[in-house]
Amino acid sequence: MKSFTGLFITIFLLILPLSAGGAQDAKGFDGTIRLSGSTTLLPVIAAGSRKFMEKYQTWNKVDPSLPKVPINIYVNGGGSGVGVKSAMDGTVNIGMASRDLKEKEKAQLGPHKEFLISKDCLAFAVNKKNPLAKLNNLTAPEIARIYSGEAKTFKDFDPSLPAKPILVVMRDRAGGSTEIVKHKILKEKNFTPNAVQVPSQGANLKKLEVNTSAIGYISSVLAMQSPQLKVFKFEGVEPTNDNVINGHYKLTRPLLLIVKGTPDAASQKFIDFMLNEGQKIIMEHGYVPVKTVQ
Amino acid sequence: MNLPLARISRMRLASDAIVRGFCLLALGIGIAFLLLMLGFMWWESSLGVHFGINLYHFLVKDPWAPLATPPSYGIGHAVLSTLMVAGLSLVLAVPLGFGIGLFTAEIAPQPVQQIMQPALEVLAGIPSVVYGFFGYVTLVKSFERWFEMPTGECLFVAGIILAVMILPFIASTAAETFRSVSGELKDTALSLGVTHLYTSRRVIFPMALPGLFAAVALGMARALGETLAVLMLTGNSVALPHSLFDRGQPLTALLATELGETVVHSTKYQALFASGFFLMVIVLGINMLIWIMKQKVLKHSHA
Repeated sequence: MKSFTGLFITIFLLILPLSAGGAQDAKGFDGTIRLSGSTTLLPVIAAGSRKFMEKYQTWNKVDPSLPKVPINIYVNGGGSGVGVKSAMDGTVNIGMASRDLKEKEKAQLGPHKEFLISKDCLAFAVNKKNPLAKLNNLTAPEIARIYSGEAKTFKDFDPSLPAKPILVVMRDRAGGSTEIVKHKILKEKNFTPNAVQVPSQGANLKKLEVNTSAIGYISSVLAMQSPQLKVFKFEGVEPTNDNVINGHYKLTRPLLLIVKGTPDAASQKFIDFMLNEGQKIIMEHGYVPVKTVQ
Repeated sequence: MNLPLARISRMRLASDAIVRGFCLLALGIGIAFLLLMLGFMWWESSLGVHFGINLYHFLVKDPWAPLATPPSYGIGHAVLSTLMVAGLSLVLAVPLGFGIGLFTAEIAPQPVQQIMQPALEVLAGIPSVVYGFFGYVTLVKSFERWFEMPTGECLFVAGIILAVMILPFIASTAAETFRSVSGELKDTALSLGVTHLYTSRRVIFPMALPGLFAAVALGMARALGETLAVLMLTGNSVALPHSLFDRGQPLTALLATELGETVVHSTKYQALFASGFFLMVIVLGINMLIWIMKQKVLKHSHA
């Protein structure tokens, strides 16, 4: 019995990638739009598309000029690079990327549109009882000393602090926020191997809220909401949503939807939805909205 | 010639053949699944063709630093963590499990046996996230307090929780084995006037030995494969652990942490599939070792 179930699962897994292919015919619109790319955006867009499908069900209810066919939105992962590439070769209507496009990619895409639907912003934070909590501001070199393992104890960091070890907390190395820290703060240095890797945003928050020797980076939206946390300014700028959107706060990356040429009518409607009602979903996932919604 | 009899025997032969065929098919599918999985891991890791990493560097020398320039992929820390955590859990759980097994099978009175066996089975059915969470809120906190560690996650805590997790498997398999030792042997021993303890030690235990090896193999396979609890309790750090009180990252935790956002067919993807492959090799290797030990011990005891 067990091996049969196993077999079915294998067959299912083998078939799965096949069903993901297949470009869409522009003329005979069958109600399907496809997205793929950044795994950061994947859960947000998946939640948004569920909401969109529940609300409208058929495309003519979104806009009377669209045909009366059921809405099908397929969202796949693969990473930002895959998002750009599949928008380029037309296997998807919309590509998802959680970084700026490279010049080379822009050239390959030709005429295209980028829609900034949100920004991922991270803030460094500690428990209010942490010795570091008396500081207000951290600079990139200061954080680099802690995260590279050069400053192992609070005393190493600042001689007036106790000689207790600093517990460095990081998101898993695969996560996008870790890449921001690597590229904008550590640069050529590497993460200390002693860092504790937490597997999720929630576990990250919990760790910082209960542990008084830990320092970590976390979504600014979540950090600002927690009463137990002291959130640092970075290079003198506070990670408020305003500072993120106007670009003063630097530890961010854009969350983009990319369309080659101009979006078709249905894709445009979905992008509009993400830019308006979808902003609430974006906030629920811990990302900074580009528009304020009530 | 007696026709009806011939027909009956032919029918029997036919039904025998069907049953045999079905069993063979089931066995074939089971084994094919194992081989397919090994093959899939091997293929996806590109170990045979163009594995982008030097194998010695991968298994021993290099640290795991996928974000470094150039990125470095080494799983030495994970192999060591896996072996340390699983080893500790076996050291703790095997004697306890055998003791519990012997007690439920031999010593405990009937009503106690009837409660113990189902209780062990319930223990075996608790999801690993519950164990992990339990360890996280109790042991991790206590370790922080007792040993003044900056954070309580370490291989030792993971080993203790893992021991509790594999205990029911070892104990119930052991109990089953002890129970299956023939009553005649026990009665003969007891009638010779030796004590119950002596009978257990010199008669029941040697007779049950093959089954006990199976119990250890079962517990070990589970200890090596457990993911969520060890992910929560080892601290998930990529440093090479120097003692049981260091943080570490078993292979399963490495895979669970990294695979989600890895670009398909990249070097890192290959490295992760290779780690999965080597985890399977470790499991198969240790199982084989146990099997060889079993053969040796059995030959010895029969001689």
